Amino acid sequence: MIVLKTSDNETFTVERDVAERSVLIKNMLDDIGENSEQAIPLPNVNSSVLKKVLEYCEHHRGEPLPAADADTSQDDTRKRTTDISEWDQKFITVDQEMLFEIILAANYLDIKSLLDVGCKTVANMIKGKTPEEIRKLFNIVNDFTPEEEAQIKKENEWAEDR
Amino acid sequence: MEKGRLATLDTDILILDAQLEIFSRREADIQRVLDQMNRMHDVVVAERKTLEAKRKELIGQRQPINWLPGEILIEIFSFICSSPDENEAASIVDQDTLINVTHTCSKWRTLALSTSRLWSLIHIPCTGWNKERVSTFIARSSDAPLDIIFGGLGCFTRTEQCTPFTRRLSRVQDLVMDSLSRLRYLSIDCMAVDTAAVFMQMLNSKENQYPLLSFLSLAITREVAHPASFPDAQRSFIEFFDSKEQSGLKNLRLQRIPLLSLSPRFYSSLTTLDISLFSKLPLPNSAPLKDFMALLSMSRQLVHLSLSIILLTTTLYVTPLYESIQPVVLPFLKHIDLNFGHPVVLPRLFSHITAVGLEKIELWLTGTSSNTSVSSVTPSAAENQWYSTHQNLYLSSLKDMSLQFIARDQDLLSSSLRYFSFPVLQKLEIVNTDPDVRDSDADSDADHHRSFPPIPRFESFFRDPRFLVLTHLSLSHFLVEDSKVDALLGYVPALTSLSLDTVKNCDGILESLALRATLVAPGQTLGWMSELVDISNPNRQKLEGSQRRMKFCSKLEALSLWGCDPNFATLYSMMKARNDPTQDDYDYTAPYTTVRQSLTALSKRPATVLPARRVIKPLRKSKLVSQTTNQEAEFLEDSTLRLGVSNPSTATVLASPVILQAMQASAAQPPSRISYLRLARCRDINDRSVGLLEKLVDDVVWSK
Repeated sequence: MIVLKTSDNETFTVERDVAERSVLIKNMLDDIGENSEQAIPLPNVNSSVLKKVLEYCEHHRGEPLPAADADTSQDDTRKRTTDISEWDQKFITVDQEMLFEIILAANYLDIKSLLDVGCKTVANMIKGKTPEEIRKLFNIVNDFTPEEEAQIKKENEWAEDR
Repeated sequence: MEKGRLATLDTDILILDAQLEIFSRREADIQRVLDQMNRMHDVVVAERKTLEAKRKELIGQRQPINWLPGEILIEIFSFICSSPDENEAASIVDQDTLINVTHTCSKWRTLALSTSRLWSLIHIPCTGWNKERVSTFIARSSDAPLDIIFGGLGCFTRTEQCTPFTRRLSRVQDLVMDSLSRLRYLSIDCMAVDTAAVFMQMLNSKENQYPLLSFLSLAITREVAHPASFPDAQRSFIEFFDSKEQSGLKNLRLQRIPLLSLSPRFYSSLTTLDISLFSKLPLPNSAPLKDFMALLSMSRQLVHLSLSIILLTTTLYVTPLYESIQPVVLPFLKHIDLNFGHPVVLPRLFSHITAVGLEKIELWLTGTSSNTSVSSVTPSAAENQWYSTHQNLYLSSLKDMSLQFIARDQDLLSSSLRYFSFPVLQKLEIVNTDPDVRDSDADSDADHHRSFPPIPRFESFFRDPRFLVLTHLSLSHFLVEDSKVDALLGYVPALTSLSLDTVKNCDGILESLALRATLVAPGQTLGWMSELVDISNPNRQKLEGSQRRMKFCSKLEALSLWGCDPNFATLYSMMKARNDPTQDDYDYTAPYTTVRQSLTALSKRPATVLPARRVIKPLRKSKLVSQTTNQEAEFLEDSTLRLGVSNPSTATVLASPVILQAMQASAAQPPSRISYLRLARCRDINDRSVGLLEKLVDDVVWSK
């Protein structure tokens, strides 16, 4: 069993194969050795987020991890499907704050599949929306300079041609 | 003027000069102060702006979207663009969303514009494409590999009126000419022939190189292509045999494009080739066999071949000439999808390729063309003889086969299938595609049952009906004839998974699956399978314990019934018979033997086989000639006679040590429980019945 310590000083005891869904934790465990009973500090993750992340890791335990050398560079064949499995969809149905916290935690803990689920969810939220709708959805301020506004107006004419 | 007056003027001037000097100095002092004040003002303004920006940033940080760093936002934007091989209609909408992303805020715009890979998928529909938009996308994609989709589903209407629009698409060619070296994916879907011809010319030009191109799709969706429209199509097929040119293209899809029109260089590294010549129009639906073989001769790396065609024509019916054709060797070919209009396509194709690693074939007989009379393409006696003796029709590594056909055409399909042997087949799917049956209401009455065709009789459908290592069997839209059930199940002794989709009268199968081991007289065996248990196997003792033996498919572990309407009592009885441990109380004093006793008897005397089911009349008989060890020879001799194996290569495959070992191991194992039961759209099944079944089966999946 592995002990994880969150930014708000809560500790979670989890099985090693669940914790090792995180490449960061796996590398740390490799470094500190098998028998260390020391709690692993996770200063960038709070307890409510870690609880959700561990729920994901528990559900997906045993599944193959992406290859360590998987290259996401532009030369790779693009894999941009936004399909999300039913369980993952239900799991990620949370408020925006938690959604982005989970994405940040997945990025920090290096859990590629969870990061993808989070990014796909945000992408699906954006798809098919106008700029104004996107701004409203995420409370984004329109801060374009007059030059940028002029260029945007020109680009809008592309769509009007259709 | 007086001297005194002049002196006074000089003095006044001097005084004024002094005063001016004083004012200049004061003015300079004031300017210095003003400059200082301005500088102080600028500093204050700058500090105010910094604080305002910081405040804005802090206010922004209250919005969760702004917690994400740039690299994660780019990752999100990259998911907005569909993959080019996904739904093409969606991709153009996704492109609009990507543009909307750049119109959302300054940060998003800067991030998106600086990421070239976001702009590398360019969809150019037949109507409403904008030259500036395409140019901007190409410019923004910088040096990223390009994925370009011309036409296709982006055309919203796809009516006859669209044809002129697709014709205009050829003008796009100028925009992409400078970026051909970056092309990775190119899909051209044209209604008009001449547009396709323009792109074909671009592709074939030796001046153009495509070092990154890995996917190419060319399709004509409306007009009829004549070879005259594609000058290169009139090249000799010999060019393909002689070509030494290379390219890195991995996937090629050609739809209604004349076969030889694309340069041979594009075939050298292909792993997937998909050719479709089907259309609703009368011609061209067929292609010369020699042309198709020429393409394959260039495609030695092929892994997956997909062909949709009515007929492969050949004039090579004269025996010596036919025999002189060497099959094309495709060492990596694993999977063939064949959608064909006439069954003669099957032996014609397979007798001209050698694919020792072929593992899966999906065959779909779509019915003969009204323009092609069956007799005109029926194999001649010479061709027939050639197929019968040709080694390649023994698919010695084939593990998975799917057969789809309209049931009334089953004799036609069988006429070609019977050229083949599948000695190691593990998965078999037989699907009746008759729209009259599939579209009819599943809830109709008994007349509807009668309209379902019976499951093909394996002994007349296949050259060799016994599938010794078959583990998965799926049947769709057939009727089970009670009298044929035992024969059907008897041919598949190693079955672990049975799937029935809209199979009427499936109770017959369930009743047979509930039957215990066949009762045979002492000293006799249960049939040919029981011999497969190695009598010298030390595990034999385990078998001699009290174990339940089922008559059919004792290894069955998974059963799926979809729209089959089984009688619940029959289903429950079968499950109880196979899964309930309390049913193991055999009375071994009864006057019959089990496999256990059969094995004991087998060790004491030469095998005497009493067929436990109907005698199969062998299709052909021939004496086995290969040399084997004593035990193997005994098995082979018997099996050759019983299985009707006519070709030594098939017999050798059947008797190979690996298969024998696998079959012996399988037979030595205790019978399996059915651990998975799937029930969908079965009328007689409800919550209560599922509850009862769950007491017998580990995993029951039920849907109404």
